[in-house]
Amino acid sequence: MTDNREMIEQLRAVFFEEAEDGLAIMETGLLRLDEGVRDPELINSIFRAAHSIKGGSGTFGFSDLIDFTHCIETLLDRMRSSTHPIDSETISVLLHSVDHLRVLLVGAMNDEPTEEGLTAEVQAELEALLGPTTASAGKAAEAPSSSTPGQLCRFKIRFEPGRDLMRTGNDPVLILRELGTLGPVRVVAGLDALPRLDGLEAESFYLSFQIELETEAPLEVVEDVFGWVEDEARIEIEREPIESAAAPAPTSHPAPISAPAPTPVAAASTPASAQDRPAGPKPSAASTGPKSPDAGSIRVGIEKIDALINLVGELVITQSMLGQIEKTFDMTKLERLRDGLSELERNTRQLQESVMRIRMLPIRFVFSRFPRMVRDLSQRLDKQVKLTLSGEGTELDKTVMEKIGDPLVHLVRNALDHGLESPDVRREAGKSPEGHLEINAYHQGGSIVIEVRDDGRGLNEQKIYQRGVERGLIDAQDKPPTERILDLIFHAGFSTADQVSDVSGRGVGLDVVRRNIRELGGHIEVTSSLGIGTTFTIRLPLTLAILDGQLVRVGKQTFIVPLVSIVETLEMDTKLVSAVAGRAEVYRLRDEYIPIVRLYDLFGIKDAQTQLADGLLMVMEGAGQRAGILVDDLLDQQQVVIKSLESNFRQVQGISGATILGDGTVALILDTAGLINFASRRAFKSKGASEEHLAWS
Amino acid sequence: MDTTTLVCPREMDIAHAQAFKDQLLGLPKAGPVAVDVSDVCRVDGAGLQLLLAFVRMLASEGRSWSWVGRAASLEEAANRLAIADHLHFRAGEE
Repeated sequence: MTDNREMIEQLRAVFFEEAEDGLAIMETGLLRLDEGVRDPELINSIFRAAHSIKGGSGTFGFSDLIDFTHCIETLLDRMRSSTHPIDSETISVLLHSVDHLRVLLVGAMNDEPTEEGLTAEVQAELEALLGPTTASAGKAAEAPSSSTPGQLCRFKIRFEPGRDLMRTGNDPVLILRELGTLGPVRVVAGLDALPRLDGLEAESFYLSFQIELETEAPLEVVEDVFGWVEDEARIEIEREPIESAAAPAPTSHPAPISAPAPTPVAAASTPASAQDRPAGPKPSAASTGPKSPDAGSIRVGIEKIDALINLVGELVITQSMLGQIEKTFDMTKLERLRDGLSELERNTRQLQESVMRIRMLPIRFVFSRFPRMVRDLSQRLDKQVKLTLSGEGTELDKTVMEKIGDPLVHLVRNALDHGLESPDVRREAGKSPEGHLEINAYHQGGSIVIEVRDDGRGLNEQKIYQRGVERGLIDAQDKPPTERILDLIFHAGFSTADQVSDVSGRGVGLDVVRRNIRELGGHIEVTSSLGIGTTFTIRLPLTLAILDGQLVRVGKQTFIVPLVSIVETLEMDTKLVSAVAGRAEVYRLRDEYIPIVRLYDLFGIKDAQTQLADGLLMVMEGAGQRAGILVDDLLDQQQVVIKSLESNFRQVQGISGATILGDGTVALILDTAGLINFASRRAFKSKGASEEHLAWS
Repeated sequence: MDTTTLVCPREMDIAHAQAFKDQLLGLPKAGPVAVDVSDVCRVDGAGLQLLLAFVRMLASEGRSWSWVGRAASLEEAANRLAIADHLHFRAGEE
């Protein structure tokens, strides 16, 4: 019993994942229809996605979903048969229906009924398009081939399962059993294709069936019984009304079966009107919240699994080879031992990379929400917007991806609301009335870069500067460079929007965007040209679990510096060191002054090099700025697995995590961006800088 | 000639179909067979089909068989697929 329950739970989870995919197919397809694409296969793919959701819902008894999806199917069916126009209104209603399907799915997933009024509202929109006949008669009346509910019919069904039907998880026994719930069934099995036992493939299916069913159920219900196998079998269904409405005599069956009493199908499958249903409790906030069907699982391409299996095979071979050497080891085999260890290291590294790749997913999963969002928002804002997505196949860690969605949504909303102008304003400015929003992703070094670019009005640097002065963020005497002025838009509560809309403009958000991105170990910067457009560039680490690090020594402590943030390491010429504000030091590196961070001083380490001339200056770059850290010595370079200091100890400023080295000692990983920020503030801030220090708290 | 007893597995489904087929092919090639289905709890189209092919093989070789025990799930499934008559459940039942 427990096994069965677990299996059903697993199947449910698969259904919800696939339903989510189906919704994505529907949404993408509808958006393409909205763009004017008129490929019949496009409507077919939307229809198939809806049909699969309905079929799965039927399996698990989600009656709300079945009824609602059926209405969608009916409308789509009319669109593909050209009996209903494919216009903007219809597409909007269907998109709205997809949203509601998602709500119903979340409700089904959490076993919480969805508010009746919500379904009734969306269903009314669909029914308004379908017309009064369909709306009142439900699913049984909308197709000309359908039978009238309550009329007894005889269905002659030819069911020829394909050889692979059982391999796909289907079973003719279950199908015929389900058919038996609709009414008396007479089955004749065709055994002609069944080979001799020795020539029979155990998992293939060879039988076929000629079936007669007498039922009052409409054609669609009978068809639905075969819904899951329509691609795996040849199915022909003929229907003929039986004149007498009297119940048929029980069909003789070859052997006694304790068959369940025929279920009144019309009651089970005809959609009840929303008003007839008992009112359920409102879904809780959690049920409609961000819980995603795939929250606890990940889909992995088979090629990644195959690569992993290959590597494990290699590892086993290498281990076996080393085992052989160990059994008969003498010094003449030293070279072979070295080779073997080197092979083991290579295998381990490749295995690690392969395992990490399993967590990597294409950023398409995040990007896919934007076409719909841009369409809806641009309609609401009365703007014309062309969206271009590129680099959708760029992969990044699942955790990073889950957390980057909201910041990106915020940037896109901002671009639509404030960046892109209305068509009239654009015409006046000599631009095309259609604004262009471009979202691009690509790998660069050890990072993923995401750009959100619009060709709108651009940021008004002067206005930002004035607002910054008003708010005391900039000294009126200072003339900071452009990037620092534009950076003010990331301050909490900072907004230059003249109007606050419900889309954006409250000055709440960009600071949160930056904070979220920083929490992921990334950074965001903005560039803009007035009248030409704005680009937000986000740089994120590919993964949060492992980094390539440079081990450095300060006194007896070992620190790890992320390799991607190291620009260069040099011996200092003390003549190029200057003091700022009496304490902070800067080093003149070619044409640039970079602040110096004495790690021993920051972290209170004794026995370290205190003379600049005796140590090394490691120049680091992060968050678009540079700083040099004073270290005693450079050690090895290696990949380290990041352990959270916060969850294992406590948050320490200037430190992003810890790791355990090969000799078992703990080494701290420097928070490059945090250190650079600190150093810059101390070096360039005019007041109060000398008191600033990093704290172990 | 001695009767060979075939004890059908508890789960006669696709997951165990290949093992069941191997079991059937591994039986002696001559003499009557007593097919014991009393342990069968679960059966699907793949399991039924193997049993049917086995019984047809016995019939074509002129060998007799009998059924030992009963399995409601097996009979119900065989009736659903309309192959109960081909299996002659009643005829050989002990």
